[in-house]
Amino acid sequence: MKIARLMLTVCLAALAAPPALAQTFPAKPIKVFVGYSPGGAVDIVARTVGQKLSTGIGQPVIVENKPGAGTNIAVRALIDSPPDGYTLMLSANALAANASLYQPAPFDPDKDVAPVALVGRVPVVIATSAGSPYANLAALVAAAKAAPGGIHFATPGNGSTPHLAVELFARAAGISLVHVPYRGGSQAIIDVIGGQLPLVAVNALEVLPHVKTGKLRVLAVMSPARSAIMPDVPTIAESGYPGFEASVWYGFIAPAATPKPVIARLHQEIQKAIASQEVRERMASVGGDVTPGSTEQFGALIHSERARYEKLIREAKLKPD
Amino acid sequence: METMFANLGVGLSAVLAIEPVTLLGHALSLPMNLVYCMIGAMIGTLIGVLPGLGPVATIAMLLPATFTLPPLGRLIMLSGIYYGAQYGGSTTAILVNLPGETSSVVTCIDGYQMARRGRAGVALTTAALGSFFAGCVGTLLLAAFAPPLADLAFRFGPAEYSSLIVLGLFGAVALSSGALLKSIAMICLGLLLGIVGTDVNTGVSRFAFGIPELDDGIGFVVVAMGVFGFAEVIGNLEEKESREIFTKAVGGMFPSGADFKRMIAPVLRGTALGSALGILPGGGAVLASFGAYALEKKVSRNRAEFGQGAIEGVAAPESANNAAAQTSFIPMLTLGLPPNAVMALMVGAMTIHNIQPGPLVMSTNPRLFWGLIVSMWVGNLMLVVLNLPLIGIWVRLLTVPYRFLYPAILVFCCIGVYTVSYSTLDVLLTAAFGLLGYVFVKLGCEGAPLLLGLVLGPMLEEYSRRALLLSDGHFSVFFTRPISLSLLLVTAALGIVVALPAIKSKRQEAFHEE
Repeated sequence: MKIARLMLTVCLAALAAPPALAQTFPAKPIKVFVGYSPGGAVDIVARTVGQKLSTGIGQPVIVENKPGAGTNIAVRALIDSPPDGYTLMLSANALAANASLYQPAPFDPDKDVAPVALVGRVPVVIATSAGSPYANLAALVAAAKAAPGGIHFATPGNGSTPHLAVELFARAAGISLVHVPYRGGSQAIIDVIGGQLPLVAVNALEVLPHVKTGKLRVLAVMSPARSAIMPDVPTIAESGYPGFEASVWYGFIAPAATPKPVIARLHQEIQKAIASQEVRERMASVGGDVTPGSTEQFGALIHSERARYEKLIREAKLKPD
Repeated sequence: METMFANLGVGLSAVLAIEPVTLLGHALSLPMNLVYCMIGAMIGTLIGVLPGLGPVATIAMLLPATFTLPPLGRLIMLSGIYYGAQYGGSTTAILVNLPGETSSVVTCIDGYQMARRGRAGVALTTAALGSFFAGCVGTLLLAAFAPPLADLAFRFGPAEYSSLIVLGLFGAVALSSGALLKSIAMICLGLLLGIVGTDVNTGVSRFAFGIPELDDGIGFVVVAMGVFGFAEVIGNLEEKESREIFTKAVGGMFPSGADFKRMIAPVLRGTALGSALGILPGGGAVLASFGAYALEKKVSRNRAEFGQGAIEGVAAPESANNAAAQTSFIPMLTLGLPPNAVMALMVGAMTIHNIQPGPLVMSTNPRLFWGLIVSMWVGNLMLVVLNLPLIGIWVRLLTVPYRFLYPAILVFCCIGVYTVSYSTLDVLLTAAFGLLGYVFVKLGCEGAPLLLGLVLGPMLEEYSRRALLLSDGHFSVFFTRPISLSLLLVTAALGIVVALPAIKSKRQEAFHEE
């Protein structure tokens, strides 16, 4: 019956939205694009925050999945939407990386979209199968130095955040590893557990259940501080390689010309939503943290991540997947 | 064994649990999980019947609406949609030669021919009963062997997958009812179409012509709807109003004793093959239905009838895809590893309720785990009860004048294609493949091998290159691993079997000329 009520609410909300000027924002449902298929981490975060956001603003928040071309299709759709605050997107690292990964650049993340608010981060981890000979990151580096190009590592895909993170780390450590790209993290994890190759870099959420059953061992979390869900695992800085933090971040963006007051209102409501117990718990359950902050801070993050990826992609000659 | 029944008991009590609900202001006590199961199965049947609109799109759309349901009820409903769709997909395949689901593509071949011969009712009943049997076996397997079977998935590395796919492609050659050369040509065309899109290993975009939608390749649904759906409509319209009229003799609903005798072995073989393939990640149900059909064509006593309405050609693939649909829950429930897109959605649905799918679910949430499994069996039973009376109604659909039926088919195809990735380009591509499919019909080329090439080609490339990447470029990896070697040996044996009759007929020709 709740479904019927929900659908009724949506219909009524759509009907009860006259284009009156005096109406305060938001006067109709808000659409949130997600550049990935339903069920993935970004989708879950979008739906959780969206649900909370909708109670805050008193309008339904509808998540619309536009998967494909490494989120470029969703970003394109966002840029082409009216800049009125009723169309948003929950973006992740791909927003900053794709401008350099794809040639010609499909969009400019500094000019074509406006940051609204960062939602949270999930650390990237480097994990190995339970029976592997690498006790810690130092042992891995030593083994890689002894046999250059002899160790394979799996990632969810070419140009994915974990892939870029490992490439950054390998350069810093002066080692060379062989990259084996997969289509998504779960297949990569199956092959590492099955002993086909020794290493996998994915976000913390994907390895967690396998760490609990002892099938995988995490060598290092790539976040600045230790993760609450695996407090025994050292960070990459503690392991001797500071400055190579990598995490998957999620944040809301809007079309570039969206009015400032509208963005401010959305920012304020998103801050409220991510401060709620529910959203914090959900983020914690996927191994991440919520990250409150200003719109400007989020803009600066996109900008600095973009510069970092641009340098790496140019030097390592990486291509998208 | 005893623990298995105890576990199933826990599940049954979870499914039948009576919960208080308020319906239109009346306080009632209802077994809500049964209700969710029924709703799911009904929605599933419906979307299965609508061509193109698959369970992935439907579950994605319904996911937010089910937010408010309790976790078990929600999973029961979503899985009902999934296996319900496998069921419903065969209906349009048989009646109008339109695969409602990707896994019912092969059902078109003989199912539609049966319908043309006035045996649509028999074909539908066969599909329903075969699916029900396979569903029961699949559920029991799931209950008894979930943990050990899950280990099987781990033994399959990239090399094993490559060899399995090679076997699948060889099977496809045997699958075609037409000329050998033409079916090989169609597979090759499928492989070529599969190259379009981003290469996983190097990240290079191939034959995308700068169109972002093509970066992800040409979708299976796009080609299937075009080559089967649109092409069929064009072909029928060509015949003006004289389109074959099925109405004259829709015939009996129920298979005769002789039919039953012919069904039993194919259903058993299909169920066995489907159960095994469903556990493996990547297109389990599709591979299973193709494989089961190919197998029947080789071993059946009535193989001459294949392609002209053989009941085995409906019974085997329909059992196989339903068995695979059930067993594909095994890696998801026991390891937390989704083997296909629908299972990935189910994982998403579970994490929303803070349940991390994986080996722990069985011990931490026994009611949820076993409740879901028992609900699948109950759901399969409901589907049969629901669908047998409906068969009469479905068959009457055939009596609708084609000038009303074909616009509806086209509209549903377009909606279905659009909802896969919300892309208008896909709809245009489907139309283009429709024209191409019409040309194929004129040339006497079949669509099924093309689709198999399209599905398996990119998988073969991905897995074989990954296997070589891991072996540092040594091809020996395919022959030194026991599972991979055995699969390749089976392929070689199959190759010889396929080649033999051809050699024989060549010889006969040669003798004839003398």
